[in-house]
Amino acid sequence: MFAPVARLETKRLLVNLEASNGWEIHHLDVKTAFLLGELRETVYVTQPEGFEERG
Amino acid sequence: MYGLRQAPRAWNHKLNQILIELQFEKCSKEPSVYRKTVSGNIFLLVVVYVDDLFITGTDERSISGFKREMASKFEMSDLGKLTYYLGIEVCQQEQGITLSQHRYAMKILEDAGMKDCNLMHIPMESGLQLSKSHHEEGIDATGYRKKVGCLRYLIHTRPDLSFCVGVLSRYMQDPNESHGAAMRQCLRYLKGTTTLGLVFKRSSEKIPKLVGYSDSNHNVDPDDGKSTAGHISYLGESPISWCSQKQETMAMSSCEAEFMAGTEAARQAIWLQDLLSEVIGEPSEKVLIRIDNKSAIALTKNPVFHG
Repeated sequence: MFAPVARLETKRLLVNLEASNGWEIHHLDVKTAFLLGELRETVYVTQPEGFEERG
Repeated sequence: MYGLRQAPRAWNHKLNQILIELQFEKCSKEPSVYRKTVSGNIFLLVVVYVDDLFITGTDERSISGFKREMASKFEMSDLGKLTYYLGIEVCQQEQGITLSQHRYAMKILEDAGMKDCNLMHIPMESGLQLSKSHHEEGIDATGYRKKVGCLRYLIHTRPDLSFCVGVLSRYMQDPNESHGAAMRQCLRYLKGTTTLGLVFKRSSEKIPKLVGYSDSNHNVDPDDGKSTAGHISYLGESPISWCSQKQETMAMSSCEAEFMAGTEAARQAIWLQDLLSEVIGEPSEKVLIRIDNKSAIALTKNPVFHG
């Protein structure tokens, strides 16, 4: 259960290429990324004891 | 969804789907790199770091086009040109790009209480023999381990510390006075070199050449007699990948130790070569490995080993 991350070697290789060719690197950040995935299975949850809110 | 065990994977699955829809191709050598050929030799590259996307490409218009497409699918914050990621400072200029961890290095020194120490010119005395001897007074193991951990992360932009930190890491189990002294020397060296980092210069060559170097010592560890080997790969003039590690196998001669170091360098070089050729979309040239031991070179040329 993971999300892949780029190896730092890969990043350095790309930064090297970008520098050599004078390309720009842009940075984008996705807000609340983990809320965007879609669940494919049923997940059962219960509220913890002492904290019960009527849904 | 938040906090579930499958949340990261579900997110990546979604992102992967969307990038594929946008005609990106996933790199086979590195699953977090995506490439899209816009037309001819214009292409876009996207590097995924969980929820951070680094975008680069030959053409600025297609970069902003991609940003717009992504913004229509997700709620995004556009951080503009890359300046900072994972504690690494990125400086993009006309002449090239530099990566450094200046702020992080300062924080390590501050945490170690060595912000105002006197500096040293070398990270470790040459020929220093550290061992797991129990004749010396032990020191605070937790503090020692913490510093090793911090220094290991610093290696991402500091190949010069690679060997020194590798040696220090071997004594995390039961550090004593002499290990503490070696650690202090390393930090004092760091004090004078906090601003060092990697420099990638703009070059006339569009695709820089890959060169690997390997080296090894032989039979120096007093505890188990194993050798320490290292290798570094350069793309053009700048290093991109390096490693310094105690070898797994007992080398019977310096030739064997160097041969094993060369093999490791070659393994890394093959991967880098494949990755490079996939990223630029052209077959890349053969990588040159430089070994400084005549008998090891002779051994690599022996066809018996290349059945």
